[in-house]
Amino acid sequence: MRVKYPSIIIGVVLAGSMILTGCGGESSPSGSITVLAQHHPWTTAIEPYIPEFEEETGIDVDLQSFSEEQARDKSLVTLQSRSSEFDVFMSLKSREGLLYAQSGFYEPLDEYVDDPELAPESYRFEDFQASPLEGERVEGQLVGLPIIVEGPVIFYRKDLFGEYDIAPPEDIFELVDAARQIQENTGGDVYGVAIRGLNTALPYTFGPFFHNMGIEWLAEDGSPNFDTPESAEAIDLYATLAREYGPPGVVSNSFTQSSALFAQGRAGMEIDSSNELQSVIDPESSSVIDDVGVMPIPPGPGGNHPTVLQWGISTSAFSENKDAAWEFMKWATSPEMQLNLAFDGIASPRVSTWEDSEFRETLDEPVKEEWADTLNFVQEEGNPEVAPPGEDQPRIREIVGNAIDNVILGETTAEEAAEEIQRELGNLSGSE
Amino acid sequence: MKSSGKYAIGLVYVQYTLIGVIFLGPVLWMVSASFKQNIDITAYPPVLVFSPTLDNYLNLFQQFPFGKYVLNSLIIASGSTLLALLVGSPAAYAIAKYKFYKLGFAALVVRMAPGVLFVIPFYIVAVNIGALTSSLLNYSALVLVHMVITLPLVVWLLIPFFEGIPEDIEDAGLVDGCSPWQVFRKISLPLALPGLAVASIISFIFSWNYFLFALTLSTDRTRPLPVIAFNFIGQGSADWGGLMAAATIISLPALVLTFFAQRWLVSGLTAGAVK
Amino acid sequence: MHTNPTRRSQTAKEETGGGDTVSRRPYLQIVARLKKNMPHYLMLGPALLLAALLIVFPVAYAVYLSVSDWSPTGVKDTFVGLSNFERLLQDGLFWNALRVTLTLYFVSLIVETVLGTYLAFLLNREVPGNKIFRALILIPSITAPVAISMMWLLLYDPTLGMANYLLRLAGFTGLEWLGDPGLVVYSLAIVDIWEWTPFMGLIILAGLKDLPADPLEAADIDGATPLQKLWHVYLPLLRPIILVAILLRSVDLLRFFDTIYVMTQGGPVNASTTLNIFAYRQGFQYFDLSYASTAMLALLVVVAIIASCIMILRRRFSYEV
Repeated sequence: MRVKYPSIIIGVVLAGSMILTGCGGESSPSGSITVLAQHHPWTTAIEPYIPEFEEETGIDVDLQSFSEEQARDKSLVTLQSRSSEFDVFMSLKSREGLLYAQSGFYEPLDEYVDDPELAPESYRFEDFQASPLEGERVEGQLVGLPIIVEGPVIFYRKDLFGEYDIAPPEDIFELVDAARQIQENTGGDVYGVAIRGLNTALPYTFGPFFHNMGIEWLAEDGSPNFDTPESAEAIDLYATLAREYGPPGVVSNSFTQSSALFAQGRAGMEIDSSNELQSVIDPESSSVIDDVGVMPIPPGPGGNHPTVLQWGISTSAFSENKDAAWEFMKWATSPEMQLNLAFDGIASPRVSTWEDSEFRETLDEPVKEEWADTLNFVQEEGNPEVAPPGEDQPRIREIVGNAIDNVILGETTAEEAAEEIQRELGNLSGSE
Repeated sequence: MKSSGKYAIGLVYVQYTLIGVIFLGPVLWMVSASFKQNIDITAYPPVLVFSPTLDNYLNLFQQFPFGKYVLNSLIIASGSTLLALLVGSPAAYAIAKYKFYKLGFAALVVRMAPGVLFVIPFYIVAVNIGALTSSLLNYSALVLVHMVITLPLVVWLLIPFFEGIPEDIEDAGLVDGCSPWQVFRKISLPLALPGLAVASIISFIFSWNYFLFALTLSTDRTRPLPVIAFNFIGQGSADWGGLMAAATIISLPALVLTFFAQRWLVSGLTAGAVK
Repeated sequence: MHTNPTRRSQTAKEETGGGDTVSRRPYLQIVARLKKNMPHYLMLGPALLLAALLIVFPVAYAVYLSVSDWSPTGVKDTFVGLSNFERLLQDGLFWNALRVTLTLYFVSLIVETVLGTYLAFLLNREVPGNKIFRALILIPSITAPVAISMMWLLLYDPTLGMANYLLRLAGFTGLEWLGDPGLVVYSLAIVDIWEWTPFMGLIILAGLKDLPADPLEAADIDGATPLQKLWHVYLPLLRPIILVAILLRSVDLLRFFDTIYVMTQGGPVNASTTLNIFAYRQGFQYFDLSYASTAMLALLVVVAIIASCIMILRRRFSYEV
């Protein structure tokens, strides 16, 4: 068969590289671990320190980082096949914790932290804040170690607030009013608030509104609490913010769009994760750096119960190198490392980090101080239930998100949405 | 088709411009964005004048072992395209000549299943044969698996071209004492050159851009390029500039190849040979 | 493209040659036929084998999953019969996904085919610079779909994006391209059309290049107008290649995933959830692999049905002269 000219070149390259790589065929020596990380500030921050770890312990670390969805896909495929492809992985317990734990994907860590040899004094296990640590427990068992805390906060434009004489809102009703004032005063050029509308992302920022009305996700008897008048009111508040004072197309927005809008000066406020700080004060992407303030979501009639969330790392139950994995986990979450990471903007789940004087000095700008204070508040008062609890988190969040989206789109009322959520969640737990 | 008259030619160029603006406009925007800082990319009204920066590209090369990724993509895409051509062109020929359409359909079924259907089964097999620890096996696995994409494309793109070859020419070959294989190699294949060109270009591009299998099956060493495309949007940082730069670079090799291969699109041999 | 009446009668002649007793003839026939067709079976063999290898295992696994009750902790029931399929057919979301898929499919396909054919003719013109133009115009089809999706995501942003900027410049108000449930499918179709029309154009161009000169010359001699030439000569001759282009594009369009995954994730409120997204969500977000497999098999069936229809159309057209 007549072979084409470029094909010959390609063929040679192909054959050549196969031979070359064939020679280097590696097996997995002991003393090496694979870490499945997600594209996240934490990963970026810890990567430069890994060579230190490798030198100290002689353990080779293969850090693989993917986007959140890809990492999740990969972890599901790998864990479901009981493969030992990676040893340590980032895991969001609030989302997949229950499911993964029940499926036996996590290596239980209680033994490790209780063992004085594996978790010595210097590790200061008690230094972890209660909330994030609890978040890493599933059904009482410790399945991971926290690496970063975050919660929904409000970033706001101090200059606009000052210009239009708007006082920082002291409760959620004033919050809506502040948004309205900004939008009206700027003739619509600046939206009142950039907030999440994307159905799966929405519950995260909706939670505080719900809790601040004084209700928990579940009633005493374990049934969903969406048949209460407060729940409809919370939905109404949130949907009003999004629909009237949020950007057009808000139902497809998550943190990406919200931060882009706020950073371009098109929104008076942004309600999103504390992690977005970097997006809004990075000179390469933000034009409003000097005017940013940070505050927690204000309380409602039911008090002040922000949502708090932590990311953690866990050891795979199928890892063939659990000892080395533990060494890595211990190192990554140690007080020293957490402090190092804090200088890179990673909100630490350890008390000592926040109290460290050197660290406090880096919070030199008001915006950073406010961020730290807000986060501390969130950590102390935080409610770790991002969405109504249940094994089927993704579906639960979609139910809540879709119902509220319908209100934002003006297709249903808040009451109808609350009813729908109540019914759907009831069906869900009924069928489990 | 020759155009005559300045008017007709002018009209062609007008259309070129119009079409060019529509199809290339966004691309130009993307490339220009790769030279902008993020703040300029999301700026509104859109900025025409900006201070260009090479940072996006520099960061890209610092962050990722680009050369390795490009090589991996090259291996996988060309491997699967070559194999598909090798196996697929005879098949397309047979289907065209003997109207084995039903069997041809079977070859297309591979492409009908959603990609996700393959992911877990392939992964399980890969793990069990050790394709995740040996680079050689891994490359082979990836090339093989990518044939899910390339083989149906090659077969089905070549069929109409083989159909278009007049019986007489091939019969002449048979009469001259050629075996069917020789007829295929020496007569039919050269005549189907535009088809081969199209099939290889498209096959290569599709395989080059496909990330799903590579995501789950590749090891750190064999990872191809598109997998990194997702890494630019995440919490706390939406690196549009980096993404655009990555997109530009990812598209370059495919573009180069297309440029070369499209020379084979022109085949005036058919008309000449009959006479 | 050309009919082969001669081929048919030849084989018929060979087959009827030489026969003794009735019982021996069929055997000889088969052997003779095998020997004659062996090269052709050999040509087809490897491809079929490979295809079988690649598809059989995954489909079998999917079927297995769809008739069992899978959970991450392992398979609970080994056989739940067709209950997953029942559930699928009763699932409003499934039918919605089917509707979304088909809408997206037909809108995109029709526009892409028509525009693609036009593009092929344009690219066929022998003017200086057409080779460069040909290569350049392919760029949308070459660029990684992920990058294209993200780029259009920015373009479509109601506040900061180019699309609305241009609209406002022309005096219209901006649209909620991705946020309006009634608009989102069409916005996605636009992206697909933009991305794949060059691909269609390229295929049809290759077909154009491959056309025999005779019919065209004959038409010229007959004094046909360009429009008549187009309709009565070019298009019929191009039908096979256009149908192949349609076939290939269809198979991909029906499984539309990448763009939606990046841009809307199926929203708002499932307005852009295609069957593939639906299946993916069930499997990789809800971790319900059994139901997901059921949905994927359903998608496979839908694609197979539509592809068969196209094949039938194709067969009918390839017998024309």
